[in-house]
Amino acid sequence: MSPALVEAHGLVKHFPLGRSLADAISRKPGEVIHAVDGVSLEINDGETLGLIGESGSGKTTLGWLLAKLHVPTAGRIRFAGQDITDLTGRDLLAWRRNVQVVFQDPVGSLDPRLRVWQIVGEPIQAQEHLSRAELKSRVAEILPMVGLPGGSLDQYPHEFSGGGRQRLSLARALSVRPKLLILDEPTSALDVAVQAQVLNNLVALQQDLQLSYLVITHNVAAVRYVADRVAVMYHGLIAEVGPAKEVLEHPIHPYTKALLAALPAPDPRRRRARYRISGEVPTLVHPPPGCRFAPRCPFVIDRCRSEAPTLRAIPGRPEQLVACHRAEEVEDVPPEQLLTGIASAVGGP
Amino acid sequence: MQMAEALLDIRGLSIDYEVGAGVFHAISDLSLQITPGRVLGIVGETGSGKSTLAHAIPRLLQEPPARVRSGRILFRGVDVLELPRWKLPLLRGTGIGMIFQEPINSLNPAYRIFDQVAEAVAVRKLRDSGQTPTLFQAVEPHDYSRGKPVKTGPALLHAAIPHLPGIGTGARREALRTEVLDYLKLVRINDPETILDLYPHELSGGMRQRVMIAIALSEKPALLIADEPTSALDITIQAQVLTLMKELLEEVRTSILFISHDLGVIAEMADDVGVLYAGHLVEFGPVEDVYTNPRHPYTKLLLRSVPNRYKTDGPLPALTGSVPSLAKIPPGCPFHPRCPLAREICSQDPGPVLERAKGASASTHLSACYFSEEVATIG
Amino acid sequence: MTETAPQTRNSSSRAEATLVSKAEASVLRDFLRGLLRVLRANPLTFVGFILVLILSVLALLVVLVPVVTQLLLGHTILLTPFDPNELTTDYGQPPSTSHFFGTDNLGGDIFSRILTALPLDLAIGFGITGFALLVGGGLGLVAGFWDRPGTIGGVVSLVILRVTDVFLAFPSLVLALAIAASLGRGTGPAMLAVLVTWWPYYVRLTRGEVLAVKHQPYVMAARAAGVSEVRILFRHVLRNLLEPLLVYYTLDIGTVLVTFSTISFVGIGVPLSVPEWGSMVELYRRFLQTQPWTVLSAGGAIFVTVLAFSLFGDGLRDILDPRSRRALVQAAIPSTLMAKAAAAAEA
Repeated sequence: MSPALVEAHGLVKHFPLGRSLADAISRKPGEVIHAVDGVSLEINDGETLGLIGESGSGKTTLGWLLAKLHVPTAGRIRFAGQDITDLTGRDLLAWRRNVQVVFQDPVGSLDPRLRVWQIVGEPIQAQEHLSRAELKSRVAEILPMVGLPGGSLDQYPHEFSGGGRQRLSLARALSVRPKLLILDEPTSALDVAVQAQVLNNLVALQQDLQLSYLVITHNVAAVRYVADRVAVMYHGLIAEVGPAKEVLEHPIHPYTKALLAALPAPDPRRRRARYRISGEVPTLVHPPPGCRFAPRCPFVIDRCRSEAPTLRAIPGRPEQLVACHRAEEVEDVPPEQLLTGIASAVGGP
Repeated sequence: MQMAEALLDIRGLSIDYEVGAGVFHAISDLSLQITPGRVLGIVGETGSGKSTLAHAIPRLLQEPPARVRSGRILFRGVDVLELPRWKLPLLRGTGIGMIFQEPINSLNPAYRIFDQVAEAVAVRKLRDSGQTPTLFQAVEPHDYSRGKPVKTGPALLHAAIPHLPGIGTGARREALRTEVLDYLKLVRINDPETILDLYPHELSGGMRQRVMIAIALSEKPALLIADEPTSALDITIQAQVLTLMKELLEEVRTSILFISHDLGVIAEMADDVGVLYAGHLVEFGPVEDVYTNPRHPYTKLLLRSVPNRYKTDGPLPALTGSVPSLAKIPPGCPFHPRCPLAREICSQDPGPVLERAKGASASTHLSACYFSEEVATIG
Repeated sequence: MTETAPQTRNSSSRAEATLVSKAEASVLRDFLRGLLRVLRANPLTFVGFILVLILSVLALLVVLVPVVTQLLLGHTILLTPFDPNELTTDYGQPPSTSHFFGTDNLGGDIFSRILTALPLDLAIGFGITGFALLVGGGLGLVAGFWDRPGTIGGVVSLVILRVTDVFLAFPSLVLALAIAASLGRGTGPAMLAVLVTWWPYYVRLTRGEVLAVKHQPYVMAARAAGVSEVRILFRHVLRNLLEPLLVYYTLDIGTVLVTFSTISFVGIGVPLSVPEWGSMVELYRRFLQTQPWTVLSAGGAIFVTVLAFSLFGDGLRDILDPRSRRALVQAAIPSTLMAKAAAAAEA
């Protein structure tokens, strides 16, 4: 059984908040943002892992950690069996061929002053030394893969629509033939119709180029289409992870249920529905002891507030990992039940 | 058929943007009505003209580059487009209210929450008491009728100055305070006293949006235009805000024009829905009918392209091509280059007209397609 | 009706394969095309452009003609009708056919003096501003790019900023005067004084622009691709920096000129024998009522030059930095797609 392509063990990333001069003098430790607070997961060769969560969940930070754009505060990362956590310098540069990122903002992620061949060819240039003609021909090969005309080498990004720019970002990431592509919100800036085209393109490319994807998004519908496995993040931790169909159709974790219940579906019968999960995503500076979702969870019991749950499988569902004390009891509660009232069948606080 | 007088009646509206790059036909010959008490949803992708429509109704468009080519916008019988500029503020707020997509932009970052809500409350109270003129006066409880002529000029000036935010005297601020708290409680903000002194950037996105809704509702408008109000919010927060709005619909008799690109959000909120494509209204009707039995190819294809299946089930039925640039709308039916049902007649000027859809159950289900009865056959 | 520039062909989906690859399209060609467009659209910019051109050519000629004629013919011929220091016998004459701008009370030909001062004043404008741009810009670049707290770069950056703040706390003119006065009379000290006063503004400007670019997603994308920091600096940051700086530079020339002239006007700076517009204004000030053409010509020369550069700089901004126009267009149209399309076409 070959090792997973990417393995993350206990990844932690804290961002320091500035502290006042008085605090610095008295050597009080500054506050930190617990963006990612102990995440372990795997991405297998050739699969798509969907990472879903809302803002503040830490999903983007986790993605950047895996792309080695952030240095982890703690934890290890293995890529194809090799520990890459401490890679620097030339080794890091060489490794970068393997993992590329398609960023969220199609406008901001392309330098407006550079032409298509310069933008798409940049990762190649960082790795090899090619002449201008060679670079241009390499880029011309890649463009049709993402559905762009091969003759658009000399265009500027602003001459393309939102969907076109997204394809440019994709082309840039694919230029060095990475093994893993991390896509940060690939559909957010796009219309529904264009989203479908882009998603189809991604799935087709995966088969043609034997890619693995990490798709970071809050668009649950899109994830359902592209992902093999899905991980749900809340407040810097993974709440649930498992096969896409299982997690999205039979979610176990209360937060996953809350998320799915909140999705607006194009079904007019939903007009009667009232959403019952209250509260905001809490601040990341002082995470509560115990389960992070406890303040908002409709199934919360005392144990949840004091003791943090660990990611585990429950009997009968070996492929799905859940971080919930009451996983077995709440397993069968459908998300819809969070719509019109608290789930009374299982008993609340 | 005796129907309540339409709150908003738009007839043949056409709006262009004239910029250096050319002329964009943002809205072409659009007609629709909003009946009081019902929520009208407008769904469309970017470039469909929906934001233009939202801004056009209270005449918030900047006149160059925008130009109203033709049409009338009748709000309770008054043609908004014919009003002289100085009367427009009287229409807004208490007549037509509006909430926007990004509350961080629509709330002034330099003023505290109390001041911003109080400003809106003060405007309404001035109009209620007759101290400032208004076109439509709100009469308790939540009833709206035509305004009566009131003093202008010096009275307006005198009344307006003390109500600048932050400058009001203690007594006046106190008088407003109760109402401000009431409206914040209306939008389900617990312990509203705690946020009165905060600045917008100190609140979360969901809270800011609630404050915006509170500000809009505190003026008791007859019509509330919501331009993508939840698009910038997280999913669970969006669900909370939508639930809030649904509950408010029962408590406050304000009609809503709800604009969104999200088919699901429209399904949740709207009673009737209009589908916009390239500035044209291509379908209109009760939301159940339009969603379960769409009568225009674009609507049908759009509903189908929302991912709700797994990749092992095959590729998504994506629409081919892309939305046309509004500077170069195809002649005839704007959708015909991408339409599976297109025939020769579809590409001819003039294109089809919005009319009773053939074979639809509701009499108000309209479609602008020559072949509306064949839409069901699109595989 | 404006021509549809190739940029508005929204060629995103594979349905449209209508792109022509511009063979060896150069930055220069884009610039010239943009220049022509703005010049046509904006008559004032056109005027400014022509004026700047005329002034620059004249300045060159004034300097070169004597040198060339000396080399070729053995004796110097001046471009100016009279030697600027020559004292004719026509004292205090109003403008006439022989003396275009009249003469001053000592008989010197105003026109010749103004023309002779042109290269000096232009050089001041271009040169000092240029130096300030290089020095201030360089410091601003460092302060902006390597400013992470806790590193050496962070400390250096902090020092640069605080020193800049100190300089900025003084009103520029007062500071320049003080420095010039303490250094004594002369063109050199005056130039130094202005230079020392001027570079801090460029530090602030450059740093701001660098910070704006640094946090753009495309810089992060470049890092993800493995591009080295230095390359990022040159490739992404500098390129995006060039245009706002150039615009500011052009607009600044006028201000530097006025400042320098003021120093000379006050009596410090250029010695009386060297024609310079500012000192000429000072010199002829008392003749405002009796021989107005003297002071008005000198003041007028400053005015026209500064105006020319301002007009041209404005137009330059429209060509090079379409961000401002794009932003205006985008703000006026609520619809996202149309706003972007309209804005993109302004680029």
